[in-house]
Parts: sequence; structure tokens; C-alpha cells
Amino acid sequence: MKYSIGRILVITVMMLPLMWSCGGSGEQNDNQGKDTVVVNADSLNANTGEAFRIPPPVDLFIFMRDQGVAFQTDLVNPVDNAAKYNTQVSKAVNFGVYAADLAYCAFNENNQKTADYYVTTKGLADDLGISKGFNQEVTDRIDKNINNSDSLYAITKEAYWTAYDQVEANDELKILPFINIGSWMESLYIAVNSVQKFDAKSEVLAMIIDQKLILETLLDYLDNIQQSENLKTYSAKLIELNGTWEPIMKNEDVLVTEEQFIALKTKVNEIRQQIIL
Amino acid sequence: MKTTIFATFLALVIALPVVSQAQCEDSKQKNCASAQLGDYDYVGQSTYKVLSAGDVLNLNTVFYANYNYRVILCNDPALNPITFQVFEKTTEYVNGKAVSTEKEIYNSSSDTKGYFEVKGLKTSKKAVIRISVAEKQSVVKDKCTNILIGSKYSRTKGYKTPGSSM
Repeated sequence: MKYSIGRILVITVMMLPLMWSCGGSGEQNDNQGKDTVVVNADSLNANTGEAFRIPPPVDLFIFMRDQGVAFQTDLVNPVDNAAKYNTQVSKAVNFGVYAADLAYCAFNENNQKTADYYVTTKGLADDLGISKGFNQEVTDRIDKNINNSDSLYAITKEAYWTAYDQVEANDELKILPFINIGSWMESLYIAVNSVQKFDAKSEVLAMIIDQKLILETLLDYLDNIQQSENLKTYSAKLIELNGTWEPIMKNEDVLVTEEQFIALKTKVNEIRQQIIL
Repeated sequence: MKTTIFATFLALVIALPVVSQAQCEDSKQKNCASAQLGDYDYVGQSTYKVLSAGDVLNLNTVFYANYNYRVILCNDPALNPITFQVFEKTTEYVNGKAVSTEKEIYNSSSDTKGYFEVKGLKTSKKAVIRISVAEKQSVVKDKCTNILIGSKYSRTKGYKTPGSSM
């Protein structure tokens, strides 16, 4: 299975004839009851695989807009920055950043920005060799629908997820984790910086605090794959971010204090700045 | 020469599941009953995997508050019987170490609808979608399984979502 490269390399070569027929599914039987069970990764059997899929950034933007949060063009990563990304890692993580920006612009019906961010995202996709979703046919559709927000939103969303599926299908673990980190960090950056006035009872704030669950899932994902030195650096940043969140999770009477929110926002901004260079 | 043969063998072995995964991409929703899809948006969280008899796959995800979700499993019939369960997952950090617990909230073996649906969550939740393929007497391997996670925003203050007919 896809997220088991280490296992594929080791077990496949050594135990190829047995790989698809051995093992059992006792884990399933153990967990069929309704009771809560503590999960112990060591107890998972040899044929158990882990996969991860977090909600797309646009789901956060949909909620924000519904709550009356204004679209802010200055929050997106300037397209000129794309010229700075010269390594595969910086291209991959900023492909994720620009994809989130693209979703933000498209959902908020800023057609010119959407076109600009499509071109920028496509440039990085081409460099990364994942241009399936960003091919000439899609570009032509963008040009043809430049005045139609509904179509632009649908086309750009399809473009990104086609490219993402292409990466996932080809087991590109070298770049997929960076794309996930970049897109999520950018959506979080946009969300925390969209809060104009602190209100501990605001639903937008609650949704931002809920992003801790995405962070935990991302950390589980990173724990589950073999990490390159570059990925370890990004992983360490997310662990730091998780540390900033921890005091918030211990609150009893209030969701988050203003001081805690400022600390969280500061950390998010610091990491995002390191990502976009 | 031996090195070349070994490298070729290794490349083929590694490439096998990759090719199958790519083939799955082209068969999205092929094994799905369209009537079950409803008006959910399946772009984004859905995924597909190559599974074989005896495999168990845990798909870790998050369900947001204020969204409705529908999870549908569309698999190659050769994999049947196949079950999927949904667990709510909570994680606590004890002395800096994550300890997770899971509580089952859905089991396809005791359901007739054929899909899991959750509506109106007050707070966001982590979830694990566990897919278990039964062991078989015959060899069944490398079959496509689509895990469709459809979402739909459950609240509106009167705006129109681009691309929707709301």
C-alpha cells in the first residue's frame, strides 16, 4: 500500500511470494465493539496500511466567508516570489502554498487573481513534473472562462486535485508531504490573519483552534513515513507549532485567551515566512 | 550484470503497486452506485487504494464542524466481503507522547444504507476509516478501492457557493 515504502522495499524483496497471502485481520475483530480502545501502532498486523487525507483548504475558506470574513488580497504569497523557489523542496511546499492561494482567490471570485495564481501554480507544477491537472486544455478553459467565477472555481479545484492525485498515484513521497504542509500552513496563515478583532466566542476562532486536529493528523502522517533531512526540518516546525497549541487545549473556561491567540498567530506567521522565503 | 538484473527486478517489484495505483486513478467511482452519491462534493478528501485479500487500511482524516459528510466505499467486487468502519479518534499528550483512543461510530456490516453519514457536528473530529478485506481461499490482489468522502457545508448565511446551484 502506498504509505508503506519502507515495508515494500524490505518485505517485498524478502517475502515476495508470501506478501499478498499472509497475515490476518485480527485487528478488525478486536475493534468491532462499541467501546473505546487505546490504539497501539505496534499491534497492527503486517498487512495494515495507513493513509491520510485532510480536508482541502477551501473548506476553511467556505466557513470563513459564511462568517463574514473579508477576502484580503494582501494575505496571499506574491506571485513574484515564485522565482525564488529553486529547489525541489521549496517548489513543492510553495506549490501547496500557491494552491491554497488559488483556492482562496477562486472561491472569493477574484477572477484576475485566480488567473494569476493559476499561472504561478502551473509553473511550479510543470517544474515538479506534475502538470496533469495544469495542461494546455485546462489553461484554455481558464482563458475561456476568465469572466465566469463559478467555472474558474470548478476548473482550478479540479486542476489542483488532478495534480495531487497524480502525485499520490505515483508514490511521490519526496514531494507529497511538502505539498500537504504548504497548503495547510497557507490556509492557516490566511485564517489567523483574517481575524481583525479578537473575540473568544467567535466561531471563526473556534474553527482556527480546531485546526489542531489537522496538525495532529499531519504529524501522524509524517511519523508514518520515512523522512528526509529536509522533511525533518519541516516536521520540527510543525512540532513547535503543536507546542504553541498545547496550552490552549488545557483551557477550561475559555476557548483561547487573546495572549494565546497572539502567540499562535506569531508562530504561524514565523513558519509561513520561513516557507515562502 | 548481476547488479543490473537485481536492479531491474527491484525496479519491477517496486513499480508493480505503483502501476496499479495509477490504474485506480482512471477508474474513479467506477464501482460506485451513483444513486448513493447524493449532492455531496467528493473532490478533495476522497482517495483510492490498491488492496488485496487480508489487507486492512486505516484512512485518517478530519470531519469539520458545520459540514455534513458522506463516506462511501466503492471497491472491485472481487474484494468482497469487505467491511468498513468509522472510528472517532481522540489524541491526548501524556508526558509529550501522543496516546490515541478510538470509538467505533459506524460498521458497514450492520448497516443497510451502504454508506456512512454524519450531519451537523458541533465540533470538528478526527476520524479513522478502517477498511478490512477478508482473507480468501483464492488469490485476490491489487484491486482498486475508492474511498469517497463527500462534504457539504451545512450552514449558509445566504451566499451562493461558486459552482453550486444553491
